[in-house]
Amino acid sequence: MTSQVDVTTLAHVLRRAAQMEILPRFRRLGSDDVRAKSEATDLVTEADERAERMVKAEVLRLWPEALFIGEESVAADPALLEKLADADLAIVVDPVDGTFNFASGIPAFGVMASVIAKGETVAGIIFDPMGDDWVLAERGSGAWLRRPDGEMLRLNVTRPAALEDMVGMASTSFLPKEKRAEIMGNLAKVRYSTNYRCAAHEYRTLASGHVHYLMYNKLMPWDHLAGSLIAQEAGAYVRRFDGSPYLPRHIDGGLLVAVDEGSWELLRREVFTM
Amino acid sequence: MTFSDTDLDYLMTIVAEAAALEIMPRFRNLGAGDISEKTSAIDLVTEADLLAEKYITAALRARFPTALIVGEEAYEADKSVVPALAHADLAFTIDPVDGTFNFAAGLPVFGTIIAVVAKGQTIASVIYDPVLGDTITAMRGAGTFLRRRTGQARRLAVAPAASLGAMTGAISWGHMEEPARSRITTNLAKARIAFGLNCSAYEYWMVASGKWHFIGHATLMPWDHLAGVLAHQEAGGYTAKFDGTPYRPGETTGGIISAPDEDSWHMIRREIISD
Repeated sequence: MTSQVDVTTLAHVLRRAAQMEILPRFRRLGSDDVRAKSEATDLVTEADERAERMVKAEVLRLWPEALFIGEESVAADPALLEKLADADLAIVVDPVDGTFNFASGIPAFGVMASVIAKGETVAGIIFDPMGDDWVLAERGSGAWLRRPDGEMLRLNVTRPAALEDMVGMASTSFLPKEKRAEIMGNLAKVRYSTNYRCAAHEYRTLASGHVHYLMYNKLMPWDHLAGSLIAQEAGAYVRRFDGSPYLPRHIDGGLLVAVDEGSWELLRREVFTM
Repeated sequence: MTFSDTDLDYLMTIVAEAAALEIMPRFRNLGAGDISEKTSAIDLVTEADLLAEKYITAALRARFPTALIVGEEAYEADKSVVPALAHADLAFTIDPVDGTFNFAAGLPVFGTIIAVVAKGQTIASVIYDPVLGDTITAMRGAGTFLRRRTGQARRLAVAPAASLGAMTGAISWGHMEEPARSRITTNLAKARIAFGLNCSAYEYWMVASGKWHFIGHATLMPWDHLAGVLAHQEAGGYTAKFDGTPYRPGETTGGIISAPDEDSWHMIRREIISD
């Protein structure tokens, strides 16, 4: 299905926001620029707020019929999220994914957008301000890396591996307290499991064939809609912990992304024992 | 041996040159033929690594002709260079691309590290971010600084001590064997956030700048740790081997933990390493 939103145009909107509002603030934060949100390590920065404002204005100018959803907009009006499932067209944006890294000076953060049509994700973009490049997918058309020179490279997940040879990324911080130690202990069964705390780069790394799985428990749509479509279009098997497909209306139930269904089943049984 | 501010400037210059010439042109530009397997799929060595080490080694020899120069490739050729760090008058350790998994995967989280060692003590260090051109520098007795490419600098300090449940950090358990492996991954659930970045350059950067509380490592190749440990100590932190003894140049076994202070160190040792 071809979306009514041109993804290249949308990617350039993200790129301009990164150049104007995000990059100039990286590693320049004074203590006034960061304030606590739901917890001390869940930071929102001025970059986040200003970039979202800029992207929102551009998106609504280009596609006035679209419902705009961003982390900051939803923080101001939680009812927005409920409209996502039924909207004819919605654009969901995460201006700075990886705010903890951004605020800490780690250059692993990204700008993400997804296009949702009647409750289904039809396109996703992950822009990387460091490399000035992006990965994108439109449903049914594969996952692609768009290099700064305009070259497009098709992305594919890597081949499946035995459990002890798998390398992956698991966001363990948001696991329920009673399951956290058990699941983190299970991670010792794979070769190595990392946690970059940046879904943008984690989805990009999986779709580019460098890791075997990703796991998340907290599912805000701006964090996962773009990446899960890109992963799926690169060949990954993407399901919630109960085996059901992940949809824009879901905000819980966990998410396990693996290079194929067999790897997914193995990881679900041996490691992510929710 | 004294190591001057001018010498430190020289290190920063040659590291930036090596990054511009040999590292950054190869980032996100790897063909399959540029990566050869070393000990495992996540322990990759790239052409960037080899050529940057060669560049930095030649530049160090030009200014410090009698110094011992220790990099991963030099070590592959002659294992005795590592124990020689314990008594050399002047030595340098080089990790040209620390975070090779990230580099090869296209993740912009890698660094170039140099430590300066004199008579068994680390006296200066440089941790360079090739992507943005910023540097963490440390001089023994003179503090740790973040130096932006633009010239701005800020002195760094470790985080205040916190309860374990409020701490963020990482223990690199990928090279550990059972039973330590699953014991430590289980215990990491006691911390607020357990990161894994696959890059000691950034791990030391994070603890030296107070963004994370702790890091720990089981394998101690000197080019991965000497520079970062000095940066962390000069930012006020406490580092020791798992057995409580100081970590010294030339040592490669025993594991180390870096924490904001000695009490926090003992808490991490007891609650997370806990053997």
